[in-house]
Amino acid sequence: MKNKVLSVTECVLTLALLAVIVSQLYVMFSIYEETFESPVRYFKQNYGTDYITQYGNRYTEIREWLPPSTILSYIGEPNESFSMGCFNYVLTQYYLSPNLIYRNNNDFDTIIYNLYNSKRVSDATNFHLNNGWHIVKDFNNGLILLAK
Amino acid sequence: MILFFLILVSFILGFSFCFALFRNTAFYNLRILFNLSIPIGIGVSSIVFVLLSIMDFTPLLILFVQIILILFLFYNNLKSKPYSNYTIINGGISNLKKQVQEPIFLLLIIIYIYAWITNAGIFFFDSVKEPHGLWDAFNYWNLKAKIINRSPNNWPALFHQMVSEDFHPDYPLLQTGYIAYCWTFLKNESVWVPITISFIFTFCTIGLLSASVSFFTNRIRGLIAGLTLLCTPFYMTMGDSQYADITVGFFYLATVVLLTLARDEPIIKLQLLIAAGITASLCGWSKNEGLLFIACLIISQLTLFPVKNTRELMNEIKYLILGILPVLLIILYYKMRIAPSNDILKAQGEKTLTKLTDCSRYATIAKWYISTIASFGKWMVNPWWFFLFGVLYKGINIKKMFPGMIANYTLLVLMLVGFFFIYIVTPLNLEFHLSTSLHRLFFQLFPTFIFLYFLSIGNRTSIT
Repeated sequence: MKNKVLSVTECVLTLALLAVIVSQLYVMFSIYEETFESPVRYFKQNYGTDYITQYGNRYTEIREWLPPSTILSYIGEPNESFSMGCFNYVLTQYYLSPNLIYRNNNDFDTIIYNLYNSKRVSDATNFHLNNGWHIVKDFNNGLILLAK
Repeated sequence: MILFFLILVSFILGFSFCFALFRNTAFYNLRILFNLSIPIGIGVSSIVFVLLSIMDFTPLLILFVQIILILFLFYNNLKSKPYSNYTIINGGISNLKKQVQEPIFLLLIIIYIYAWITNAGIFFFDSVKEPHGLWDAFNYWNLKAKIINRSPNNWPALFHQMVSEDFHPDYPLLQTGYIAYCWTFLKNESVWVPITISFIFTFCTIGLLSASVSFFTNRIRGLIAGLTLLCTPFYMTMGDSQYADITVGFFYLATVVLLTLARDEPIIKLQLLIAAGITASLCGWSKNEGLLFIACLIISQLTLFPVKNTRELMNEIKYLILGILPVLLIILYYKMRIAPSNDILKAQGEKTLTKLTDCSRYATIAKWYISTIASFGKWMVNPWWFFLFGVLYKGINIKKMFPGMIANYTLLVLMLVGFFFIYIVTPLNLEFHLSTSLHRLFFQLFPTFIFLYFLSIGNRTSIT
């Protein structure tokens, strides 16, 4: 019975596996090497600068405007891709909760436009403005609130 | 500071809960207990919070209920006679001193500590860069936590009205509930709450894996098992993305570890079967896949009929179900009364049969299974060949050492088959669904697989 002591094959196998693990560890470490050297600087430079946090700053004012548990229809940019449309819609819901936002559903009296590129709705051609809705507030950052 | 206090309360709750179940079992391993206690405490706190929040309890009252629960468990633990025959398998301090003298063990310890610190650093740096986590985190878990925190009296109604296809309000509430619980007390929605919770689950999984493999085999295997998980590059990415796959994966592992502990000796430890039932039910409270796990867990026990007395096995299953039942009833209540129906289940109908008989779907999924396994973990040099070599060299020793291992392996296989059939009937675009979720499903099972692998190869006393 091979008790207490590693056999040669076991040693070789363990060392080979360790070599793979260590090389992987080295690769992982080398990607972050500079960060490890100055973590405080990294924190100061990066914390709060991510896309989602920055995106959320647009919603500060509108959140104060909306009473809680408002249900809104959501309209995004007219020509955005499916994935971008989803992403912007989800982030709008994320920042405006507990208000509920419905995409592709114009049944509600209040509508939020999230025009992060074009910024403005066209008074002449916009469907809602020509069908009983009016602009309640333009937040001047692409977010526009319409009501019937 | 408040966050630390809340986590401490959950830890004490989890520890006293585990201790109550572990007493009189001749089982004493602080590393396993510690790594089980915090996640179980988080799970129980989450359930208490969600349940009492539905009943309109105020946050302070919820904390009070938790403290009463802790005092009750402490009183119960003190009242019961301590077990006089604790055996510390796998040595004690004297054994550790001997092992430290072995160069390969010392080398492993150094690498393990280095890997742990490096990965903790990577987790922190990634979290600073993406504090809201990735898609699932902000779209499902943290979004719903915001709704509970911002509308504590009306959230069930709001969940019911949410668009199922976009936000999946039917997803269980372990992570969401605990984040909301902390946010409610902190009175702000700090991103450090979900980050800390993900950190706990990520590193407790590694700790539990390493400790339990050490316990059942030896410290060298325990360290290698922990290192394999620590150094799998995509594992850390999953952790710092704040995905619940790590959470559910932890509870899969905990269930299998507890089952193995319960059946490690000729006399079955029934309390540990109840504990395994509880962790299995917490899988269901973490993600929908956890419900599949519960079903597979019960079915997998049936494979023990040929090697066990029928009456004895039915008794074991009874205790397992006893552990599962309380949380499962809460999950069912949530699914039936609060959450809208699941989008995959809702879409089933006439098309299901067509999909089930469509051979091309089977071929596509099989192809994805193979390619995902081959590139699993995104390692620079794939280490799975060493695993295969380990099997060839040491052989598999399931039946002799652990009859329960047959059930554990069946459980893994049943899960993979279950996932396969979910893809067959999915209403989503098949390629899209596979590309966005298959690797995560494999990662849920990965810690459990490593645990079973290290317990199965060779003789468990061959290296110490």
